[in-house]
Amino acid sequence: MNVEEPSAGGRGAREGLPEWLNHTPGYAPPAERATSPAALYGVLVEERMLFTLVELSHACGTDCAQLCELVDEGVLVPIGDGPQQWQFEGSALRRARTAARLATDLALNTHATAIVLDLLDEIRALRAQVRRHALR
Amino acid sequence: MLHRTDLADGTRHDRTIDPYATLGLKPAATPQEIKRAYRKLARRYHPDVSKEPDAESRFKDVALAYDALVDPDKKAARDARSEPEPGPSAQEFAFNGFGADGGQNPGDFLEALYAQQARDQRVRDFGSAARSTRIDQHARVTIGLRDAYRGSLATVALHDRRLEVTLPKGVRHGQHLRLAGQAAPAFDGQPAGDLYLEIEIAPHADFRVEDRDVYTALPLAPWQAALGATLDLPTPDGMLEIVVPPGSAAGGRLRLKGQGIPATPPGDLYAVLSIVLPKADTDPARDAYRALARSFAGFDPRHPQETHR
Repeated sequence: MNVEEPSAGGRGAREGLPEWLNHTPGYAPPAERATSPAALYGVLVEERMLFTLVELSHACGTDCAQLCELVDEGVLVPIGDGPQQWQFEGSALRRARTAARLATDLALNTHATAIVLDLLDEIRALRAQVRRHALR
Repeated sequence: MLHRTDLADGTRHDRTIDPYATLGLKPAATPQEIKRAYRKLARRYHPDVSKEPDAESRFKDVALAYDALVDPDKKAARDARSEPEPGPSAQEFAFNGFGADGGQNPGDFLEALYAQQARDQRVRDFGSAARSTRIDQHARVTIGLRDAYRGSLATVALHDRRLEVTLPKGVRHGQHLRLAGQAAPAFDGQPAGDLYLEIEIAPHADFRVEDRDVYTALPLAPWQAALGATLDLPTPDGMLEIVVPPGSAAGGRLRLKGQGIPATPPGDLYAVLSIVLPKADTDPARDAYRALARSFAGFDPRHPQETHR
């Protein structure tokens, strides 16, 4: 992940902003609206976060055992050896949540969930392709 | 009867749901029939797999009806992911208790269930706080494409409070913003969980967003396509002067590098070309087409490459 050198005092650095935000490449405060001192700043999950197994379990309301099954099935691909060291990329949040919804709502086992997720990915790619061709 | 409450655009919409009618069943339906009806409708309307425009709302009705009729376990699982979905143009979904009016003459079984779920409701009213383990919360926030280009402030309406949140520029559809410690406060001394805001970029009439790239239509007059032109192109972030090269064809795309969503790295903006013919509805217009026809006497639009002039 690209993190620019801290630019404290430099261009773009602003007082009162959390430190990581001043490090965010390309971040500029909203130009045309009054910034509110009370407004909260978040972290962009897909670009700036890694989850441990427990954190991911909290974040998607799924127990760790079910997440481990999803790893076994290849739905989630953490880095690191063994559950204690696993780190999941931010994009795992959406995938794990979708998997949990499918498993619960459609009564699917982990293997079936994995197949559905793969097919959904394929459908998404094909639809994007169709849209691009429709514009030609 | 079940009551379902949606909070959309800050306005409450209360609706009453008949669980049997929602599943297309008669009150005498057996558990097997209920399950079969639910499975079929769930496959059809599940928001992750369905293309129906109102899938999410339909599925919520179906799930609510099914949970009320047979499956307290699944309700618990869904509650664990408890998902109020507020936002500036927010949707919030919660059970609004279960009325005692009972419509379809529910038996003791249903009465008991309703009582149980009314108790659940009270628990739910405390959000995830009534749980002993930390639970993170999810909500959805809808922003305009321009907000994704420039960054914005959004007000997120939750059950119990409103949050003002800075959305950085360059966010993409489907990404999440994590607000540490901003889930509903815990009562049992546990630190509050995190609030995850799913970012949704509202569809725009003039721009189509594909991840970080943005597409827009650029209709040209025939002479502009043939001879080239310098034009003002509206982009989500203002006007941009672009050069259409001579000999441009309908369906061609002009790529404006770095003019898509300003993520890291930024996306591109594509102007998709089309050619619009002026109407031949006056004598001068018809004369102009006739002059064109004379000039291109040998032109065969079915085989344009082989045409000799």
